[in-house]
Amino acid sequence: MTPSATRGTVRAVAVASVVRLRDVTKSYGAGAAKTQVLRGVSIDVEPGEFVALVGQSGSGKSTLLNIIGGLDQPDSGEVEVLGIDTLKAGDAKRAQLRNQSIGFIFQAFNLMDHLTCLGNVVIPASFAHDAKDVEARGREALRRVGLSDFAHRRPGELSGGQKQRVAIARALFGAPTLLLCDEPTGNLDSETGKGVIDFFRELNDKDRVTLVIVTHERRVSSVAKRVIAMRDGMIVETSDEELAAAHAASGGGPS
Amino acid sequence: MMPAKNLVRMVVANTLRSPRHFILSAFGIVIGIGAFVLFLALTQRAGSVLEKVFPVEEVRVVAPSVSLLGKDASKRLDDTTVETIRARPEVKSAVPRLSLAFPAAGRGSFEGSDLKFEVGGFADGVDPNFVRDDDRIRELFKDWDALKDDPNRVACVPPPPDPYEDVIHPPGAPPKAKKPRDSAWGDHPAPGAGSAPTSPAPGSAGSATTPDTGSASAPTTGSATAPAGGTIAPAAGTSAGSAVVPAVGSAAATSAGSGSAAGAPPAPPVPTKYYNPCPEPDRYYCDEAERICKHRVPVVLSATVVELYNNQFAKSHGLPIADKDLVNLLIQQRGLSAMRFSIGLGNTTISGTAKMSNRRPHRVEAVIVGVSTRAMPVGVTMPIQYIKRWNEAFLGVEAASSYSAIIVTLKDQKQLAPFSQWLIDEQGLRLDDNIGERFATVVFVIRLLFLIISVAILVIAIINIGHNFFIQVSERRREIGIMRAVGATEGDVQLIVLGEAAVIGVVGGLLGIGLAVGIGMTWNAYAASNIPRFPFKPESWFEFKTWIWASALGFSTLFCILGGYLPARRAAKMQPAQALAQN
Repeated sequence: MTPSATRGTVRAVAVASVVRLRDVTKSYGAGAAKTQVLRGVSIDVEPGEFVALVGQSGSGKSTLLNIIGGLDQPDSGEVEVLGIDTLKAGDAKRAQLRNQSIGFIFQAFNLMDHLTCLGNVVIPASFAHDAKDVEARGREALRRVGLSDFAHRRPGELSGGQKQRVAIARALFGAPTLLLCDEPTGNLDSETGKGVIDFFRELNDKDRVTLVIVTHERRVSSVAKRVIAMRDGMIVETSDEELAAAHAASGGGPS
Repeated sequence: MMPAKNLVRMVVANTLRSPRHFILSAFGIVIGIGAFVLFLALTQRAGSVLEKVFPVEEVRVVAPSVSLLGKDASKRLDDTTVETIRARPEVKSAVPRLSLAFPAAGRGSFEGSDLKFEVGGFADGVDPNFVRDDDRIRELFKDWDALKDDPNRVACVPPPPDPYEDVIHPPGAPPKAKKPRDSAWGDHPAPGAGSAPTSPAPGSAGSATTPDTGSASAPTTGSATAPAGGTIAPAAGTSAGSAVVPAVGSAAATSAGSGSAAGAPPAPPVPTKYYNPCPEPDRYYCDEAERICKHRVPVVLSATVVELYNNQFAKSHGLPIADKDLVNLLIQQRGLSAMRFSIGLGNTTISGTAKMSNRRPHRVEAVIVGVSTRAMPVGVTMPIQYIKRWNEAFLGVEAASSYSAIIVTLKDQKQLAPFSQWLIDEQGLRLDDNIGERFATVVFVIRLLFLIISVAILVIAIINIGHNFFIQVSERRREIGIMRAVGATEGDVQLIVLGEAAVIGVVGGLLGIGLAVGIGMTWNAYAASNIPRFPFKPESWFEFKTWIWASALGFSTLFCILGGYLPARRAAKMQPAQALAQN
């Protein structure tokens, strides 16, 4: 287990870290069917960073992202997100963190088809305790992704790119400081994907939103300020050639 | 936890989103709750009818009829016994009952028919304070003879006795002179009246001329004027009397009455003597012996008597049936005049047993003042003071204080067994078999059975709901994952699922109650015309008490929440990462 980014280990003090993982392990299944997905991963992500997590399918990058977001629990190790020890904090605290400070963007968009675009964008407000100006904030989020006119349309009527923009608007609704994206361009054509990536870069530059993106696409990782490569549940040093090979091996399919 | 407002909004939206799921889940609850409410309402009604017939909270203490070995067979129920029982800590009240212990005959006319009936053995006396069913009973059911300062107790001259009459009959009753027989036999037998029994013409003519219901007030008018009219103008009395008949609306009753009267002996010689009538003839009569106006003996009937009349007697004798509360209805419509009758103490309608007492028969007048749950099932019930006086006069002091039973109300029904034991061991008395209690047990068992059936349906419904929710939770796993990702806690997810289950419970419960009421009303409508009359046939077969539907709603909600609990737990414990994983 060799830390890919030496900078990361050096800055172990990490008081200012947005994400701080130490020796995180995770396995699925039990007995003979047991699969070790993460074999001791340590990462530090600084505020305002734009990190791409790359690696072959099954390398554990999505699992790592889920553990950062508190959607999954590690078997062992330490996880600290935005100064909160999410393993020791209770479910309510983690939920609050996701509600107020973390935005998720998924490859499959994960919109609720029975709600309008605006309805989807404002779902987080349902679980917030002091949500004010919900509709105005929802419309503002839609405007930022360029879908002002789609507030009352349903996801079923939208193209893939539009759906992903609705999902981004939902992620931005709570004005998060950390955006976790799992293959955000995986289901999009290259043109649309480029638009999404540009939007992320703008978010990172102007709004200082910290981004961690799981991807297998070169053009995404090339935009990122830091690339962390994973193989067999561990972080590895990678050259660009190896990265290219990894992309080729994964066949461009979902990780 | 998420704000309650948001929770409700989300639950309602989710429910409306999947009507198929809702119908599949609610169906069993609707049926189960429907059965629950219907069965409870039915047995509730059965219990109410039972309570009307037998006051089950009371027990009857009686003296053993057969001497058991070593037991004192001469045990009597007297005032000392009553006091001993009253002194027991578990006894709330003990009221003696005294039966009329010698023969007596009753006679009265009801709705145009002359009725004779046996009173001896069918008359019971009870403490008037014990009979408190309604205002009229409270006002009239008391020992009037004890009120010596009653302004209506004025001197009077009774009409001469009827030499041909075998049963004592009210002489001053021409208001009730529906039958020509009465007129002939009463105090004002006009020369023409004698022929009246054999000629039904006046009666039929009367019914032809005044058949409308507007003549319902006629009897009252008739009774008020007749005593005076009878003495001065017998013809007026007769015509007033015949006017009553059509008001009853039963031509058959008229002819039946006339027919039986026709066989009676011819009219007696015309008495020429006047007598002073008493004020308020509905309530006062002239006592033959004392020559003083006395209040009529107030009498209450049991619901059983009224039902027996309706179902057995009225049918076979062609008398009108009063579907509702017969006595109260008649009193309301016509006043007490419809309810008067005479009692011939020491007389009897049973041939061969007459004149059992050596005392001269004595006529008293009575009036039925209402229907009471405290009345003896078959017979007439009056204030105990009257029976005491009569028993003493006809049989002696012992008969006046030897009670037939002591009605005991316990503070707690659970104390029945120890009380019964005490009665047998210490007093040599026993509890009478309580038919009402046996019926109540039957109703209780039936209710229990019905409840078990309803609960079985409900349990199946809950399992069904649990199953449906498991399916729905796995169908919505991605949705649940999304909610978790944007900030829903485990508790929020659980509450959303439980909320949807509760909505099914509330709506399903309401629909079930509606179903039960609908079936009940349909059955009532069907039964009203298609099921023949039987004693105590209810107008409504179901009693939808508040507690029944309130508990139905509560159970249905509770059961649905229980059914949704495990699926809700599963939804809450789902790892969001797995819930969101692509299939």
